[in-house]
Amino acid sequence: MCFYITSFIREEDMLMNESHIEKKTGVTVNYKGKFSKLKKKSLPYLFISPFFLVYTLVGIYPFFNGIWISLNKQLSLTTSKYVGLLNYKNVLTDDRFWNSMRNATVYTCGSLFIILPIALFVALLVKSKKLAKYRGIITTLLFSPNVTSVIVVSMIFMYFLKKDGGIFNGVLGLFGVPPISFLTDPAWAIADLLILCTWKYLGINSLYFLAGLQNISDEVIEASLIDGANKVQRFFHITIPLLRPIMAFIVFQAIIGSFNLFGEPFMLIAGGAGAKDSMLFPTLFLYQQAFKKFNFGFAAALGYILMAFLLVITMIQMKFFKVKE
Amino acid sequence: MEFSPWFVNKKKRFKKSFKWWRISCIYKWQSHWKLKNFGSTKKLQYKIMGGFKMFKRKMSVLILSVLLILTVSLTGCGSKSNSTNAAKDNSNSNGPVNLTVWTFVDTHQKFYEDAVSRFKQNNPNVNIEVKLMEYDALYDKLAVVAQAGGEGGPDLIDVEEGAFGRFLKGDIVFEPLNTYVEKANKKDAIAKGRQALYTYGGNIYGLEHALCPVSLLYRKDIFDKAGIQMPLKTWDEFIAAGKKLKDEQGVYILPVSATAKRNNLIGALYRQTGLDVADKDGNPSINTPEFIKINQMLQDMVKKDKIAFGYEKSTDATKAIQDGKVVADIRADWGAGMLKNDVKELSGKWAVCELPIFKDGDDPTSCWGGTGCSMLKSSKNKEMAWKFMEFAQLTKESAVKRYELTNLFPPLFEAYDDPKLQAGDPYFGGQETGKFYKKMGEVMPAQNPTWWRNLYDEAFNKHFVDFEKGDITAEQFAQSLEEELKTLIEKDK
Repeated sequence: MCFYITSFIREEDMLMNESHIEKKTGVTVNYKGKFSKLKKKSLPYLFISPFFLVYTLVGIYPFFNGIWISLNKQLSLTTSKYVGLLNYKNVLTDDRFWNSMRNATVYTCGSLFIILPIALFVALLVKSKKLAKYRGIITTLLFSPNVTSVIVVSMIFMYFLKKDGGIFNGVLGLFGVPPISFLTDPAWAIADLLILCTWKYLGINSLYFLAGLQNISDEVIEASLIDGANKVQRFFHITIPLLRPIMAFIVFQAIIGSFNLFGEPFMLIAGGAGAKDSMLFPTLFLYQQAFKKFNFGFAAALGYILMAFLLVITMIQMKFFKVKE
Repeated sequence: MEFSPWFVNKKKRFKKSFKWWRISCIYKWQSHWKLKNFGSTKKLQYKIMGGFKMFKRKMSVLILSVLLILTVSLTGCGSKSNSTNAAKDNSNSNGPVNLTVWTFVDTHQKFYEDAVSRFKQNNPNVNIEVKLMEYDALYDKLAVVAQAGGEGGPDLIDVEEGAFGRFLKGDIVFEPLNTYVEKANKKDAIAKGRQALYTYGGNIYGLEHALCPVSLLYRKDIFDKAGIQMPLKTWDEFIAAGKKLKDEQGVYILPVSATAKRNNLIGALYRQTGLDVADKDGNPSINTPEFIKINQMLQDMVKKDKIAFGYEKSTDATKAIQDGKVVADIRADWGAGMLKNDVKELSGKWAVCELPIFKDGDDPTSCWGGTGCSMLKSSKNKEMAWKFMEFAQLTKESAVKRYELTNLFPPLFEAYDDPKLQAGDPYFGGQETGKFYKKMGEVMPAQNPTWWRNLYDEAFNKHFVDFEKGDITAEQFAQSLEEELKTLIEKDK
């Protein structure tokens, strides 16, 4: 008899929670196993606990400890003194901090208005029917710079951008342009980074756009064709509005990535800050303050100010893109 | 949304409700029957599933929890448990003593490893580990270790003079070596200028590896061909020789950095005049006629007379030397060692001589760079660490071995008479470079240690571009540099 019953009940029904059954059937099921309820409830938490334990250790604890550090001034490597919000004041009145923020802002504008439009253009190109056959190869090629190490890319670009014997100057020389000192002239610093990052981050951004484009259903486009929309109208009135969710994500990523840019400028100028601090980025400044000057309090305060700044920007941006979830 | 009239899904709906009715019946029946027969669901489950499924489930929970505990202990306490073990070993007086040495140059690692093997012959009860790290990583790690109270740190560490200043603020992490040095009676064993580099507030914090005397290396064949009598007395003569070489043979006399890295060369020439960026009391002394003159001279060599090769990367300079485009260079002993390594094909064509001077009373040499071996305050085996340090840094045997292995000329006086140091160097056409370096060591100026030397680099970095481009004069450059540096120092105090 009992075997008959068990074969009659499907596995998922067996695994159903008591309260679940009660809700569906209106029958109160009464289990009397010792601690069974507690065990059943706690087991899933045990399974997900490794992540949360590690996260508490390396995420939450440092976050609060960092706040404490930012309220102290480092007197020497081993001693510090409570100074209240002095570090925050020092960061906000520091010329080099604002200089780094200016650099980051200029770079962000560059990445938003140069890298992203190019990425969108490339994505549209890849989406076009003529290239459909080669889409796999093209996307692979586009993605490959993204998996190349920042160190390697920066080293190679350093040689490309050199004044004597660099490829860029070699090509410009063919047109009679005198050699430009890309790496030492402060006016070229952000441009160098944009050249490098366009190459490195074009692929991943166009892949995001491609994913967005593939989500636009053909029916909408067909409807617009029937209504007599031309290519330009279709792009501005159909493609762009429908890309909004993915666009919000890409812009969000680009802004945060720009303000947190570290590896590329660090490698291009070999750990310094470039001529006249032209490649000083907030995170690079933070690193220098913490590990070159041992101003841990200052560096921590800088980190929190940067975080608050990015939070505000993100909130404004979410309003702008009308992201609800 | 699809729309359908109520009768279309009637069958489906009935099926659905039937399904739940069926399940409820089963549960009703089951719980009643279970309670009646078994009194507990656990027993029934074992009965139904034959116990096997339950066993599997229990085992998987057990394995998972073991894994969980393992990951947590590995991530959280891994390094700690290691270091406590090491500490235990150290406190045990009968067991072997463990020492750790950190360094950032492979040549030093080579030397240390050789020294360890020789040291162990007389001290078999000691284990010394030599760790090689990247330059920046070494000091970043030292900073973290010092914050942690020395936990997991080394006993001995190589500190480059440029990085030394950073650690001089407030509570110093290095052990003062005065008593050790006095006890060993080695107070005057090392060249004074070198000792001063690691002496701060009267305390000795490190023992130097190399003498680092700066000399002029030149291509003897080319200078002879041009009929230039070496050594040249003054920098004016040097510039005239440069013009001659440029006009007659089309070669540059010197490589000079076009970036802020030039401050190393400027510093070396500045110390030649008996001054330094930091004066004896540790105050900045930059806005001086000598500093302005040196900057102007180097700038003119590159821009006006075009007798010096302005380079962006040091590899470019090496290549120019290799190609014979540049025929002389100003380098310290370690730089000469690098030249030997990098430009092997020009062996035998080089010669070494003293630097030209600006005015009477200037030194015909200077100091450039250097690395000292220091002991950390947190070391648990200071006695043994000192014993090894003394063996490596203050014995003739090690000094000679270091010169052989790495071409670093020792700062230790007693090693100078050794025949191995006196021998001719085939790279420099058989010239007795050891003797020459010894002579230079006697008149070599000192570099004053300060905690703000990296702030000077920062200020230099900021204003140098304007000077290099010609937007400001050398006078304005020196003035703005000193002002900037003073505000930076004030801010960091």
